[in-house]
Amino acid sequence: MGTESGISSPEAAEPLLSVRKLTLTYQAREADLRTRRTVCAFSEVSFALRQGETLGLIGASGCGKSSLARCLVLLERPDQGEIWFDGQNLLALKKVELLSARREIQLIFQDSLTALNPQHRVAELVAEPLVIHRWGSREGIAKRTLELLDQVELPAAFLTRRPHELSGGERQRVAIARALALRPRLLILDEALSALDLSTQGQIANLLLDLRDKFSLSFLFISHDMGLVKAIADRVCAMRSGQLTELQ
Amino acid sequence: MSKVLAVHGLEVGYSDSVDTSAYALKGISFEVASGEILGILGESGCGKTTLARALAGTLPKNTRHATGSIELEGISVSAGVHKKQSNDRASKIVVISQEPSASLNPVIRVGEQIAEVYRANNRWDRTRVREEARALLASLGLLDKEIYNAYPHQISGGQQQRVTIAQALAARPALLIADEPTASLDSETETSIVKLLKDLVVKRRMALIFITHNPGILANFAERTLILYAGRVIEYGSLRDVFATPLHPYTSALLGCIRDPSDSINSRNGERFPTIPGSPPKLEPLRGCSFVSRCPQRLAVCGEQQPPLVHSASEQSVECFLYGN
Repeated sequence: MGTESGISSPEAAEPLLSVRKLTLTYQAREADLRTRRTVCAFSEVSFALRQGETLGLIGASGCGKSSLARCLVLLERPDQGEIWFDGQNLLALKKVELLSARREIQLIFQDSLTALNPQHRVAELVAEPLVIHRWGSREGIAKRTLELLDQVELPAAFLTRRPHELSGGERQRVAIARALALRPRLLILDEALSALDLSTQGQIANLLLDLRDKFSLSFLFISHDMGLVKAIADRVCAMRSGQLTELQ
Repeated sequence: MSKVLAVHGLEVGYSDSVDTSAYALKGISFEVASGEILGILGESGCGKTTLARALAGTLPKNTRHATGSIELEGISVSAGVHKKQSNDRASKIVVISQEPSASLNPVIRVGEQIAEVYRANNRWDRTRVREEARALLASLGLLDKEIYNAYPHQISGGQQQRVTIAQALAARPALLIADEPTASLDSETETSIVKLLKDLVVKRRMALIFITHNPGILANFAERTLILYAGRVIEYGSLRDVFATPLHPYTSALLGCIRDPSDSINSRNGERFPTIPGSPPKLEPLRGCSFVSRCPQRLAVCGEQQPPLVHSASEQSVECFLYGN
């Protein structure tokens, strides 16, 4: 299986995520609002990500990085290609199977202010995935919410705060707690550190690395910041106008 | 070099903080000369944008007080809130902001938005205005003729930021304030915008205040730097001195967070990133130094009294008890 993917991996370790010849196009309208043209976000992208690995993905703005991230959590349907996660082809799954597969891959966005519902308190924000996926009793969910807050090093007093009352770093911690709620195995971090100050960036990066070790997570770390990607990732791929290449 | 801007004892407070003595900025004093680049460095919430707005006279309505003196080319201007900015000040100090797409009007063609500025400041005929606007765009590297007739959404973020710079330059300002102008751009575009600004300062003998949270950008760019923390200037001096021998513990910690370009997970042997523990204080009046809770070198007195402003032999100044009372 590994040999088929664009980047060869050792035969013994089957990759956690294997993407094969993934292609995504959008229908865009011309300035006259009538003529439509097909825009290719990326074409025939293949890569593999092993369990416990951090794969970095860099590229300039508009190169298709975020479209790829959205595809991997099936927020977008690719036109062609396969996404294999833990031996399952995600694109071939039925709705019920998909719900459970979706727990395993979580996406964290750049702008935590728009990613979090401004009217919800931290308690509701962190508990939401647990409620949707019927984690357990109300007490069980409350207990898990507290546990998650502790894992991202936020005090329990934050449960009643709303997103605008938090700093950028604190909001990104809430977004991480939310993503970790269902015990995923893969986190996709789409410019998750880019909006933060340098010192906060280090704090959140350290937190992510600690969590990775603790829960044996794998990361797909997407950013335009080459220095940051190199500093955090085990391997780095670059995306240029919809094509993916691995950097040495 | 002639002095363009002199700020002395600037203080700004907002009315949404319950405590009336709370401030967003306090005791801000500095000068900028023509042809000079001052880099203002500070992390989110430290008062960077409030400072830019106070200088430009565009503080928001919820400003409780704005005191202190601001002298623009030797003439004193008000720090307070204005209903309408005077034309004179508007053309002397221009601010370009972080999000170019928010500063441009989405339904007016790019060229026209620059022509507007020319028309407001000059009595030129139509052809002259158009020619000047085209020439200005071309001088900023926007050579493509179609850009003049494009709407903002049809051009890239880097191009949009060049257009806002063109808009700013059309007013022929004495002082340009760039408030995180590259925060929404990728690193290649960032480098080109920074280089463009540097060239413009030399060519047009402007003064530039470049506000950023990223110390890495300022290296090889700004001549002097001012470090803001929780609304106060904690260190001020030539960039070379401050970066080589930072005096304030916050400055050293912040500079310590800059990543080496060769830094990788392997070269670090899995070690964690350097950080500053804790987070900056909220807008509340504090006793003592605002950095005290995060400072690795704190003294007993730091939590009790406001630290003094100490001047070193070179023109470096620092607000810290470590350098005397």
